[in-house]
Amino acid sequence: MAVTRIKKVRLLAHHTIAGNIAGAIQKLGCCELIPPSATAGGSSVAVLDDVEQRISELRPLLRFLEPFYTEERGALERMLSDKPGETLAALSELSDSTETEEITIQTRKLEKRLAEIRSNLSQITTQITLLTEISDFPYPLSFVSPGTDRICGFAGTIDRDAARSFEERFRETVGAHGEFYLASPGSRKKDTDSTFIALFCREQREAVSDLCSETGVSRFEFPDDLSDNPSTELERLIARKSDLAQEEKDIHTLAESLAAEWVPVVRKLSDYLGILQKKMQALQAGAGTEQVSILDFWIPEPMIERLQKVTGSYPDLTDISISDPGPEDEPPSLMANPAWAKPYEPLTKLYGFPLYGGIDPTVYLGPFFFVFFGMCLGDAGYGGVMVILSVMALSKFQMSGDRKHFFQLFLLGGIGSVIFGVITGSFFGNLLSSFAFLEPLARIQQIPVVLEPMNDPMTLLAISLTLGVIQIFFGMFLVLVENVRKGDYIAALGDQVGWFLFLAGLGGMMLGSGRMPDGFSSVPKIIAIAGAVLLVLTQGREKDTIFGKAFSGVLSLYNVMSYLGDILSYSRLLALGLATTAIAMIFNMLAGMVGGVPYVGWLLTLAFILLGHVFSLAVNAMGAFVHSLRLQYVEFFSKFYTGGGRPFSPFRYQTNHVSILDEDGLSAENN
Amino acid sequence: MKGAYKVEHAGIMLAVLGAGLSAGLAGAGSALGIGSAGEAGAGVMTEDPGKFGLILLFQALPGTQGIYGLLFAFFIVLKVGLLGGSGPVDVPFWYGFGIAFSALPVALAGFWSGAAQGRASAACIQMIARRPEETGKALIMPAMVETYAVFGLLMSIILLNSIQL
Repeated sequence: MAVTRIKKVRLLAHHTIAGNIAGAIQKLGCCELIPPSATAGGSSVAVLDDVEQRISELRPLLRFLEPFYTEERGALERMLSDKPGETLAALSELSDSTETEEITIQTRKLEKRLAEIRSNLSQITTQITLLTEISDFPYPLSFVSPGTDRICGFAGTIDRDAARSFEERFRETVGAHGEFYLASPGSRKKDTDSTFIALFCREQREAVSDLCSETGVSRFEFPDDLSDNPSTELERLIARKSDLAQEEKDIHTLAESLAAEWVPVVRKLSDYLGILQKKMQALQAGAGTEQVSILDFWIPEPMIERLQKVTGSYPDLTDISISDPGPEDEPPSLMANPAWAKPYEPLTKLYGFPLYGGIDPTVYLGPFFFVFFGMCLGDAGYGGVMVILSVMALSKFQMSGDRKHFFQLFLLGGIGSVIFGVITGSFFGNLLSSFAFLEPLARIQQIPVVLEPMNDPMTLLAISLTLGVIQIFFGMFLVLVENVRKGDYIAALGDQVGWFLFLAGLGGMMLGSGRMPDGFSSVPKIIAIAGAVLLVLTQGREKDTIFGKAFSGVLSLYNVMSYLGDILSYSRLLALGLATTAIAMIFNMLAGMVGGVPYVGWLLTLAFILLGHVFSLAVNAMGAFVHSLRLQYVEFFSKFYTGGGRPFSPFRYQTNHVSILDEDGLSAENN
Repeated sequence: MKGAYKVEHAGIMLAVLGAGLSAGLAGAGSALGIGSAGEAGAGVMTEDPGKFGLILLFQALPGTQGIYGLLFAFFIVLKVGLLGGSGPVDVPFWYGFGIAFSALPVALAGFWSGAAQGRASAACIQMIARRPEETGKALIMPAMVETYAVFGLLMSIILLNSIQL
């Protein structure tokens, strides 16, 4: 499939209606604006400043209130479902009728006060720790600092082992006119330091200072507001702390009630203003003259009619010119796939968007991915669980876009696994035949079985490799078609037909030896040689000299190894399929073994079965996904697809909290 | 198996060695790989805890080798009849030798590819931390390494199948 054709549009609109036109285009949501190349003297829109001003006011408001808001919808629902819908008219009315100035000022005050309380609290907590340690110090702390007329002192920390000797030297220095207090290790058992307080006469200050720098004790000052006895101060601080904590709690309660009232409103407002901002920015960015605004944009061809309907309502004031993208343009790509292939679009996007005008590989990889995932997981039980889970999610939540596609992909993967599980007789591994009472069911399960991979891995290997050959040849075939379409017949003949013949001939020689009917035994060899000759003749066509051409041609035959490697890589389909069955069997076996434990055996069996299979499903579904995808990307895409396109990103309603509804109640976002 | 072990049992015991090598070495490779991917993941998550789901996916990638080893060990045990109702099969000495050797491809390829895939996963985790939009490509690089574990398993299965008891 090719991507949608895109047209380039230049729209001229008179100033008086430019805003309406931009709004209508935004509502259509199908035009990608082209930023003007030169610095166009765009018309400045005075209202834009106003809108941006309001947005910058709302943002901190929402940031402050949101943590206090109890979401109405559960976390899972918010993650999966579409946003609740609102019409633009209702939002506009809300915006006109809501005054946010008061609440903004109020929350700003609250936020500031909360920050103050938090810093106060942390300060108080530190002081309480210190005071608790020295709570039995008998004098007011004002004696220590700033001190009285005659006495002063200081506090510090010292290693407990060194405290005694320091005290002795202190006493030697100050004689009888000093006091030394050492806090009991009590609260600081873990580290070896203790707090001490030394009091002495003012005239001995110098001497004590010298002593301190000599012994290297670290000193600290008490904060000025601590002046009373430690125990009194402690009581005061604890009371203060509980006051502050209460105030914080009150503010939280207030904020919660404010949040319940305002968060939904502010969210809607900020989405609405965001839409307005985008519209005005678009107008401002576009070039313009005194009387006319100019908008350039890309539009998918099928949407042109809708655009013309919009401009048609102002026939005298607008002018529209539509052209094809020129060679210097880089139009965006918009994938257009039939409904059945849509779930596979995210896989293509993961690799890289298709180039405009190039192949969109989604429809080609879809069926292969379906089969590969089915083979890799390959269990009816696990597939069934996936089907049930994804159907539940799809029906419970309103989803759209890639999220919906992902769950549909999940559903399709489950269906593939169920099919493959049924024909290989795998239902949670061998669950049904591991327990005697399930025997009748096991017999029913055996009826549709056509292949048992555990007993006959070789057949499944052959099937896997055959699928590989089919996919690789299909990839080459796509390039062949593309080359023929472009008229590059030499490339088609050399790069694809040559390899087709060579690989098919070699395959025939390997598989067909001794099995070909009489007279045909040399047919594969002739085909292979014809292919090889074609390759040798064509693969060096870019080289200048005869020698270079011949050398590159012969050397290209070596590429057969890379094709061989690609095909062998498909053996992972067998490996992953077997791995699922093996893990499931191991859990069933363990569950059977623990069943022998007296009394609780049945409980253990049940637990092993449940937990084991949940684990097994998670691990194997992930492996199946990654490896099915890898086969597409590495083996399949490498033949024909490069990606490198730019996704189409239309100018539309981009919202965070609500989705915009049409007047008739339909979602306007995904048309 | 019950009763005294005799020389005739050497064959089946060699098969047990093969099963042990297969599950043990391939599992060790996966453990190394998941370990190094986990270290990188923890580093990225200190910056951006929201990437947990994605990182878990990358961390689990080198886990398949262990599963392949387990799978092949299972094949061996089934083949010599140590599991299941019918009881052990008579395995001649040289056949047991062959079965033990058939485990080497999956065991060795599993060990080294598991460790190497872990390093590739770790690098890709670093990559998606900076460029989350390239997740699709990042998923493929560790999966390239795994090809050789698949080939190892494939060869082991072919070898085991060629030994007809």
